Amino acid sequence: MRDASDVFPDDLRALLEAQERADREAAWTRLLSRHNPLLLHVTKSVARRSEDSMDAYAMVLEELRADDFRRLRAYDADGRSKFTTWLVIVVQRLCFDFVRRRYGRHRGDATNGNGQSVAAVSRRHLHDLLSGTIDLASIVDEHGKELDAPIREQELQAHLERALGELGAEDRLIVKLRFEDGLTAREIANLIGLSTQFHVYRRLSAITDSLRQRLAERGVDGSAP
Amino acid sequence: MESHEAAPRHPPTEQLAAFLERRLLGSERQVLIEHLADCAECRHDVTTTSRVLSSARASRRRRLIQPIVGVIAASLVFVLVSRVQPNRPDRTGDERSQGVNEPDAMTPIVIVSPANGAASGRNTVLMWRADAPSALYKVAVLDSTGTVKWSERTTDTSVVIPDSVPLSAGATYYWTVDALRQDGRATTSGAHWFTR
Repeated sequence: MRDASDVFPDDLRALLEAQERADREAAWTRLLSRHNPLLLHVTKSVARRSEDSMDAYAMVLEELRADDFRRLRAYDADGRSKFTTWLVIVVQRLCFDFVRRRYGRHRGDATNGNGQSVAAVSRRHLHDLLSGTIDLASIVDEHGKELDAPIREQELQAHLERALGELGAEDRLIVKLRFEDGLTAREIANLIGLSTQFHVYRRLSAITDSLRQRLAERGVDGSAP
Repeated sequence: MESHEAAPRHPPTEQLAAFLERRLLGSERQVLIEHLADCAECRHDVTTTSRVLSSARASRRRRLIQPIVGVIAASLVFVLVSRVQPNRPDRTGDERSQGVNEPDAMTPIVIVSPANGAASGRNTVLMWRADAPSALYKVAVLDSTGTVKWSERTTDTSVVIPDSVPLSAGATYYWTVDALRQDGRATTSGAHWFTR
């Protein structure tokens, strides 16, 4: 079991059990001073512009205090995780919602340095991997693009979805983490609990081989529509 | 590629936190992995949290190592300063044999503010408790390489670091107070630090 103070910090207990307003305020100040660096770290990592991160930070404090600390009261310490891990998830959600409200961006829509969606680039990468080799004949001039290309793209996508659905849950998760979310092999290893990134590479290689075989059985032998 | 309809019930936040800390086992872990494979929103929660926790750990490591380097550097400076302390009268044979004033001579100066690691803006005030009546204090501010950025002699128990001292925003600085008492004996606060 974890250290009890990690699972349910004394400051949090004091805050939630305080009867008097002054005691509650004092406990809130103590809790805040203990976790302030982490809260600031989260707000800065989500809202990267300085003024946004400070606004997000102020909003987070307001939301955590709202309705007599309703969000903090929802914390259900089951002894397996630290309060800080739970707090980071909650604060991140608040910050992503804040950014989405301010800029209208969906919280999953990460972009790379060229403004392209990470998910779109990663999906293209998966298609290319499954094609095995790049076929010169598949590079089509935009002006001469066949009219049924979008339909064939949809068909290809549907075949891929079905092939992915046949994988085991952990393999499917690894594919999504790599090709949908753009995580590095090291990040995936850390998240899934594999020893090194090389284990991830080996799993990915086996998964793409399996997907390629499943697609070939459906008559799909390349990534071009 | 996926929709939320495929995974309508999200797991509790505590379960995501336990997964991140590798505390989920057996069927519970398997069920969560199946959910994560189909739910972009929960996957987003765990991937971003994992990244934030990793970077928080890395910056905490940096914060822990930096003061150690600074304390070593500041201690070296203090040792050098102590060695060249002038006019330090030798104690009598009686004092040496009876250990007179020995504990008192070793009492360090108590720092009042700023607290170790506190963030400090412009016009930083350094305060400490009086060591002995009419003691002369020497305050020194050092950077993380041990270079003295500013020093001051005073009989007061506080000083303000002038604006003219070039301290970088976000950097960590170390400071010491050495007291020279009227009887010629000296004591120190040891190294303390603040961030600008």
